Amino acid sequence: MAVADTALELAPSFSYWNMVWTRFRKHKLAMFGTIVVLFMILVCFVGAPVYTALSGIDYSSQNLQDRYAFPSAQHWFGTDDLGRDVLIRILYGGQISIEVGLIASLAAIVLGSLIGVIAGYIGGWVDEALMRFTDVMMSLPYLPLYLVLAMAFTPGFWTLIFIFIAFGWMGDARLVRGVVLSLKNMEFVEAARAVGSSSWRIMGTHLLLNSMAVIIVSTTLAVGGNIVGEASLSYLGLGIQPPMPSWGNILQNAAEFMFAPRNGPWLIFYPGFFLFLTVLSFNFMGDGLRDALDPRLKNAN
Amino acid sequence: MGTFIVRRFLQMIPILILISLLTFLLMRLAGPDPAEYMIMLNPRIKPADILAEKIRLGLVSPDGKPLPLISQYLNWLGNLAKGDWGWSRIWPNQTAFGAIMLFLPNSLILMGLALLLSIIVAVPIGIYSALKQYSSFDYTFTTLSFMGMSLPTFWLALMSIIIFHLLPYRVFGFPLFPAGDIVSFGKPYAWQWYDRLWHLALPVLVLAITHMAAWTRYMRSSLLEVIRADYVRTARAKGLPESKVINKHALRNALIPMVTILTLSIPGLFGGALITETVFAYPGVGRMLYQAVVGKDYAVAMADILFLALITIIFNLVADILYAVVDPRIRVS
Repeated sequence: MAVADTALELAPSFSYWNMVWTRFRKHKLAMFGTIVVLFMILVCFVGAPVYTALSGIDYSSQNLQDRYAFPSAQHWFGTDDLGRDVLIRILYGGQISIEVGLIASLAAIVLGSLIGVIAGYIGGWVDEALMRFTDVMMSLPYLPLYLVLAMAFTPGFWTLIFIFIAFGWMGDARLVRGVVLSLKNMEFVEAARAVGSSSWRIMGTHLLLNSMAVIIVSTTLAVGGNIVGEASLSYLGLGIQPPMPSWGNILQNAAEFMFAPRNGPWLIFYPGFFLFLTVLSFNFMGDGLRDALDPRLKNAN
Repeated sequence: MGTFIVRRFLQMIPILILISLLTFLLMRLAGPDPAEYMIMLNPRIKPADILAEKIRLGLVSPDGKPLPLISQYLNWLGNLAKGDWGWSRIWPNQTAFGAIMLFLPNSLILMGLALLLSIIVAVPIGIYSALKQYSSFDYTFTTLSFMGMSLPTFWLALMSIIIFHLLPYRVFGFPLFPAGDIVSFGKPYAWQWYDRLWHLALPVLVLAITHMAAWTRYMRSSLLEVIRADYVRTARAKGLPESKVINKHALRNALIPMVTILTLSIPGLFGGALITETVFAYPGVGRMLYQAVVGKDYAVAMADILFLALITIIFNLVADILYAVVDPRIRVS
């Protein structure tokens, strides 16, 4: 990329992270994604509680006199079948959706990196066993198993997160193992071993830190996937349970009353649009981070 | 080649054992006693019948003592091997295997059409994007495919119902496309081919769009990789016209990984179809699994998951073999 190259030439004294930031800033879609994500986090986690504190209306406040209201100054996105304000429900639902996405992705990358670094560094039968297990996990039909798992345990926040961790670490493990395999015979690892660093120290500080580019990109891209996963399972009634709102179960509720005479299409449009925009933004961010953190990865995919 | 296939076949065995064990444990944890659950709806059932059913299912020993989980699992596998897949609770007078066979043709039609549509759209766009890299066409469709990959399937399905069914119905008094089901039940033209197509239109469109996006990207990056290869430069250097370079040298090699990706994505299509089928109330295996899980139809859910797992593994195997056929270097390692 010509743009990135000029940036490098202009900034010879910058640190690695400065260069990453310079490259990231040039990626318009990634900047768009970052701004949207920050905006979503702000309105969901700060805006919604502030609004509730001021007006006393929260996600479960019903007003049966005011059902299926049109979007208006008072209810920007209208009201649903129980006269609840749709905007405030979307914002509170966003808290849950974003939390599930972030927690599950972070936990999965921790587990995946651990397995990947151990398999890659120790090698031998440990590597063989861990990778065979990873292969098996990858060949499971995950959506049907999600359903059964969500049924097997009581559906809810932590069940969802458990499911997404259990089925989310395999890709990360493979990626990190790949990086570790390419690094472990390099001089700096040999030097660390020569000065007497323990295996855990080498894996923890040298190998994992050098896999950070892969780890950050993979986590960011996983957040979007997990948010869609949460919404899909909640839509099917096997995720977050009402009255706690999430983007999935708001849509499920709206779809249930889709053919009700006074029901407006916006009841389905708005929550889904927030969901779509958030997922898209995380994906844009991940793409931008991939280009910024390691320009060599750009065309690898 | 022969040893390669045999080795890959042997590698399937531990995967199958693990999946069946996982399925069994999950369903035993999820549901209450399958025998009692199955007969619960039938008031004429006597306790002796329940015991007999439990013995038949291999949950208790012939003298009525509960068996440990591991023997229950082995008995279940034995029954499966004998062709006894258990009876469905939701679909009357159907075995679990019969229920799958009942819904499978519907799913295959839906997925076949969706696959076809998405390939017809995605492959040319991907090729053109790669040939005109960094053009406005490429930029537009790369961004669009990014959007397509972020679209939640069920929201797309719901929005398509609103746009093609609900709004026309409210505005003109008749819907452009039906919101669900498989045919217009009760109408004289039900089950005619055009009636079926009319009902298939929205589900096929939704399923196709969700896969189009990814395939456009794969096709684009696959061709881009080939275009940079030395043999393409050689072809150009020896003075071949550009059309020959692309058609004869670049495109054919770029399509090789697409075959593998396509094969690997078929099991995923079943998964994606689960959501699409559920939203459109389309009677396929995906929706059947959802109904079985929610309705605690123990036998059908287990059979369906095993069936889907089997499909996943088989297509992984087929992809590996195909890849080894088109690329001899794979076989050696």
